[in-house]
Amino acid sequence: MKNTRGQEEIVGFVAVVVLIAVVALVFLAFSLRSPIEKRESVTIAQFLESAQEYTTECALRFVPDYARLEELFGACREGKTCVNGEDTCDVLNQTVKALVEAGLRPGADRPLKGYEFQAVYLANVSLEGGEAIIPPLRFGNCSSSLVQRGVSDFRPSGTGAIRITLETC
Amino acid sequence: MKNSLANSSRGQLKIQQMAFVLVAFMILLGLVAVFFVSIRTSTLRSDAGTIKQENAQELVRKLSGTPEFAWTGDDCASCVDFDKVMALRNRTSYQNFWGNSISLVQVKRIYPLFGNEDDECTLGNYPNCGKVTLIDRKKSYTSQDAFVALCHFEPQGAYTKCELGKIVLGVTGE
Repeated sequence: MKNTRGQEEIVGFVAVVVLIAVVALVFLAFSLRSPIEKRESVTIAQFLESAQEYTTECALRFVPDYARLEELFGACREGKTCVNGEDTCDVLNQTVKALVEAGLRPGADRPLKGYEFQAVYLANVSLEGGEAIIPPLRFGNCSSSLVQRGVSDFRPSGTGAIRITLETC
Repeated sequence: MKNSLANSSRGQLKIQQMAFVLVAFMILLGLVAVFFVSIRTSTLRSDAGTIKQENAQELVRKLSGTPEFAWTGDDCASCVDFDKVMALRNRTSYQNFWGNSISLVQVKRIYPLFGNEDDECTLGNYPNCGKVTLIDRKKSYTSQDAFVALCHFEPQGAYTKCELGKIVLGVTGE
């Protein structure tokens, strides 16, 4: 009789321990599954603002009226070419890549492991999504670490606006 | 009588057992709470550090808006007049202009680079050089930098050209 009661108590104790372990596991699973944190970064925002003033090698009307980087987003969307015959989208792609790599210096063995650059045309600024002006430029893999993010102001273009986003990790 | 005494002692034992389990449970909860609070505190500390650094970066960036640096050719808040910065070089009147706690004021070109990024600009190599040092007190300092657009007049072709650069500020003490 005493033996049975002892066994019952052990079973009860094990049940309590298992219950606590299950609750802890559920809590851990929820905290690990939380989406990747995206934090606004002053450095990235300053970089984007300064990079948009960069004078490119592309003149849209005449030489030496070289376009600034921000002008090329609109020109690329409209399918314009530079005076020297180069495609504005190609110049845009090359310049953005060069600026990001020189300015932020990403690399597998560096503090900044990767980045994703996006330029999107929004017909209506209150709507999400939009049409990509150039294919997103990516380097490295930002899927599992803290992401720092910089978003440019909306730049008017045609009847809509252009928004530029750079995420780094 | 014997039976009721035995029952009472067993009841006390049960209550004691329950008390021990409760105490153990509370200790466990306490340990979990301490662990959680320590993680939160370290995150908060790191966030505070980041905010402090970002405020310092904003302050450095504000330098680009001062008359000594500002590019007035276009409406551009992030543009620095590289020609003006070059003219400020070696001016003794500016050595204490930003206060004694400022040990380093430097404007660096980031992209494109012509040769070495540490090539100091002189009248001979400007604008194809790496950096202009306005103040360097050769003291230990904490440095903060901010991205700017470096604009200058390009004599060959007669147009203004903006490139990517940084303002670097070295602060001694707090």
